Amino acid sequence: MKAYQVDNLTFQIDFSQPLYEQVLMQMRSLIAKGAIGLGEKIPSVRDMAHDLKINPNTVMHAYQELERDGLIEKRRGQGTFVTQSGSRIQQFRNHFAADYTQNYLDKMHALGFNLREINDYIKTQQSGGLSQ
Amino acid sequence: MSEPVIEAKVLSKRYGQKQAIDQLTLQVERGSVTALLGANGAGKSTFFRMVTGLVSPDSGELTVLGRAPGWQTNRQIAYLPDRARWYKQYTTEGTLRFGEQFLPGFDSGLAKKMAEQMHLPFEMPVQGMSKGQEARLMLILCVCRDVPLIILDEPFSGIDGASRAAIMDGLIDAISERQQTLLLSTHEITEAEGLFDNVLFLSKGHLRFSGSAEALRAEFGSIDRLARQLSEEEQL
Amino acid sequence: MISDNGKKLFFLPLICHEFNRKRWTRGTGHRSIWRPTNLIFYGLIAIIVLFLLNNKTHFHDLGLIWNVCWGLPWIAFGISIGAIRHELRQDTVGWWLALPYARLTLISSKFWAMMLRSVQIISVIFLAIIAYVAMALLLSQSGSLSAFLHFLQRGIEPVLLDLLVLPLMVSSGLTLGTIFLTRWRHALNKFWVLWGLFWFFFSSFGGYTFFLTNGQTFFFLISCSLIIALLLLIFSAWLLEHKADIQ
Repeated sequence: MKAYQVDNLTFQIDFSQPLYEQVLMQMRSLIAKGAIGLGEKIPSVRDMAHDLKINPNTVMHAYQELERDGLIEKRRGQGTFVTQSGSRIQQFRNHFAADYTQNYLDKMHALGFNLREINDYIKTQQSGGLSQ
Repeated sequence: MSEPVIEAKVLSKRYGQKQAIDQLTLQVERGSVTALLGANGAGKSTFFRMVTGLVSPDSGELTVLGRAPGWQTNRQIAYLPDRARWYKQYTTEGTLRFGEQFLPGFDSGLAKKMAEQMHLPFEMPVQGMSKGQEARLMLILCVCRDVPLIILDEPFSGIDGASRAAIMDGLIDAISERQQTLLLSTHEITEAEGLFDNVLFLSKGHLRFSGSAEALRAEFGSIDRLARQLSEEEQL
Repeated sequence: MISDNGKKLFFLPLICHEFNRKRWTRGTGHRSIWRPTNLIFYGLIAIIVLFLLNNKTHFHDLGLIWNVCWGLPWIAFGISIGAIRHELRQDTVGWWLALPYARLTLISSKFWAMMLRSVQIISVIFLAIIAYVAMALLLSQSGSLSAFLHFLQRGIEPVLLDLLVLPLMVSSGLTLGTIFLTRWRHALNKFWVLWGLFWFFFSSFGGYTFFLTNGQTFFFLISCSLIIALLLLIFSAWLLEHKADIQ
């Protein structure tokens, strides 16, 4: 795992994992948590490829997927930008939040936790984490 | 999948006692960055020389860009030979003129830009350049060509860190700007592995395995580690 | 995808490329110091010899200098072998053979470049000889214009012979150089033995004098040599195409 800087964004690239997923997931995260703001320009495919030392096609495919997500849009001759629509990003976050939560709940249920126990568990974990 | 750029069928080539290529069958996908990996003497360079018509196979069938390799197909191939040096009397400027005169598809404007980016002295003959500068110059001669196939035999070997970074940048530009097939062999896998789409692993003249780089990463981890592991197995 | 520059003029530039190849590769740093030193050294020797000649020489023997001509074609032969061997030695053979031109084109461009180079070398040597003899005659008491013209006249035949035999020497050199790039290079030491034997018998059975005294046979053989030169070039191209064995 190695940290790479593209413009002012940090990426963690691990060459023992598929690269496409890493670029895609990290870009999604950067956009979802607002590290790249609404309507802001994202690094060009070429810059990403140069700074991460990866195949530009890999970056391009990840960007195509982000476009399908509705998170970014190409503007002819200007580059690629994060969508102007905050609601679109919110919608994307909700979608993934629901996904992750469901995933978590399914696993906890499989371990025999019920909803109240899961709630309590999260609370103790959180306070434990905070007290440290 | 469209027709492969290179297709080898049970190819064999012997140098005296040594079986350099042994019933090699493989394909190189059009538009991909394909790494040809393997230990020294695995047959990588010999394979490239066959593709560029420098040597002919003893048996088997080889198709490059849809026809038998020869000087006609070389019009469409940019080739960096193994352990190559550049003609000593040429300056950077003279080399770019050489490219323009003799190498089809050579883009001298782009080459000039790259030479500036790579900090090559324009007036100095190769004789006075460092090995790294010479290597950068030779790389420019290859990647500044608008041809369907670029073949680089060990573009990083014996080259200092700064030049390697410059060469990587040159390669990334070549890939992003044109839909070319890039076929390269290299020992410095860590440096370049982010570029690979496909990996072909040669061992004793035949294809040990092949696959897409992403699939190999998912299954085995980094390609660097996989290559090391295979080379070690081979030595046992 | 490819711009078709097949019709572009390339043969002349290719000859220029071959002609301008580095002749000296060793001692890059020393060259600039040693060249003038050498020049002065040989210049001094020439002047000393001139002063000795001034008193001693019989000028009717001056024509013997033209015997140099027997050696000059061998320079052409040697540099032509080098033209190909240097590609191998300087690790440029991959670039050369991957050029998108037919093998015969590649070999022919080397042929013309080496022809030019040989003519260049021979001219320099001739001019040097003529200048030298002219000076010697000027300095000596017995020197005269007619002696000088006589000297020049004696040179015409050997010079002509040298120029006529050049194509054969260059193309044999190139063929031999090409063999270094093929599997047959292992047979080359046997070749040199046979080659040496041939010249030994050729000269001991009076080959040279036979040539020089039989004008007709001589010109017949020269025209044969031109045809052989062409065949050798075609043969070299064939070797490169089918027998090249570069490791």
